[in-house]
Amino acid sequence: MFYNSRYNFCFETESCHLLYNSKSGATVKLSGEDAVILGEYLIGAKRQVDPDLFDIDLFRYLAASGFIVDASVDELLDIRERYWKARGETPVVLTITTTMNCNLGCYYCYEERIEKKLEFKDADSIIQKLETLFSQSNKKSLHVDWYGGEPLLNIEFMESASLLIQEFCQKKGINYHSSIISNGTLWPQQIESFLKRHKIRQVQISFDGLKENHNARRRYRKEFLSGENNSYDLTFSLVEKLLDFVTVDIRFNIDWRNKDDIFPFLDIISERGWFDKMYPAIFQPARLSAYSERSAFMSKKQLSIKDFDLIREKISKKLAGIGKIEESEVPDGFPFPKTFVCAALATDSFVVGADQLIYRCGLQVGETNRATQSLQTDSNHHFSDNGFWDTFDPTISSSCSKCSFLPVCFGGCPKKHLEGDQSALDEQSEYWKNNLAQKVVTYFGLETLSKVPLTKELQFREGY
Amino acid sequence: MESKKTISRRPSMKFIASSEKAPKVEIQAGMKFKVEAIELVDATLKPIKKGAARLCGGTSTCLALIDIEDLEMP
Repeated sequence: MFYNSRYNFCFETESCHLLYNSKSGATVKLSGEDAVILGEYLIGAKRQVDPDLFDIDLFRYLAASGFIVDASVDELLDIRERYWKARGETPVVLTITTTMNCNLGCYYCYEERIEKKLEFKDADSIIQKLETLFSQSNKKSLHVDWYGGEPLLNIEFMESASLLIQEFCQKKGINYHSSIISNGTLWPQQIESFLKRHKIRQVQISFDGLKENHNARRRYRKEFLSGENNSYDLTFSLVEKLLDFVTVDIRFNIDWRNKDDIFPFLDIISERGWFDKMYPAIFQPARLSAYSERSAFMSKKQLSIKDFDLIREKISKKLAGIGKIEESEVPDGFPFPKTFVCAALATDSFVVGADQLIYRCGLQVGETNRATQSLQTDSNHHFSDNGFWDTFDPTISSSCSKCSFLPVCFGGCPKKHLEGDQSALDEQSEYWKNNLAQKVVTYFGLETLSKVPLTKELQFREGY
Repeated sequence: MESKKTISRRPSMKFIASSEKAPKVEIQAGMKFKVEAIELVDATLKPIKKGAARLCGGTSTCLALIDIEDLEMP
């Protein structure tokens, strides 16, 4: 006995229908006089599929591609197994918050700008953690993500810890790489040697608009201002140099007041050749929002998901054939079913806070009630979130388990589940309802004219 | 089955009627679907290329995407 998959979608264009399965990722172009009927037959509520309606080859293909499912198959169980495999297999990412301090005072920042920073002795504790981790794991790589505050405000720690960690990896035969997120204002003069010394292969630099808006938002804090308040020029010229040596993700933070800066900014960086450099720039539009509990005030200032998506779509069109835009929901440009989890869920990944506490998510650093361990073995800190992180499984959530977007979403941000932030979780649903069809269709060069969101009935199918 | 990656035509798109809880499909006795199918993406799970490290992109997903495709390679 066979059924239609809960994860089938069918998108219609003028010339064909695209049948897509979010669990397998399989996509097939249907044409012919019964394409509409077949599409409708396979989507919607659960139904028994009659093999006699199909040519044998077509039936076999649809079954092998996951559109038609044998009654003995539990699709949700497959996704659960895939999710837990991903948690175990996602490579080790160690995020190190060298300091909570920052020389800039961005109005939307979710972190406390406090003096806390990691010290040399903490590098030894990090090595001990790595020693334990790799002795219990068969992983062969380590990616360190340098984070802050502004990580280069504590460059002394980074210089020493980086070399110690690399030495540890070399001894153990562990492949090592790193990345850094920085505001771009405190970099050493010798950029190339700095990148090489720390094996940095990705840098994320943020812009908040054109010069006027950027400087107004990314203002130097009083104690760090030694001349003109102009972080824009410094950051801009740094990126131009970096692009000769390393991948740079240009994060462009967007809200209502700076959204008109995006396209002039893209014109400027295109003219400057940022997308044609040795390492072409990657453009990452970001929606300024309530990233963490501390920045909840942002929920009233943020763009709606719909408005933000429209902006992203315009950026995609503008950059088509020119440069790469990266969207976190669909990092490879097509809604492939997820085979990875974020570092917060990855079994072997962790975040070291500048407060010597260990967190699962970088956005929690400084929220000491969210810590899950301490670097110090004698800490008497109470850790209450470990149970959540150890057991979080969207396939058993009452809502996610019934959702047809589950294979491409894995429940979205686990931190939002932890915080019980229902409006953020609803926004994730909204994203997929608004964008799934377009992401599938545009991948094949088809143009989307209709903006009709997918319905709740398609998101939550009956009969399963 | 023929594999094809791109389609040159750029038609408009609409969704199959989806407000119905159960799609209306007229199945005739003895009928077979007359359909041509061209596979565009196969059902093989793709290896991960990017992983999310930290930092929200504002849509409750991490925007700090790091290349992890080759990390486990020797």
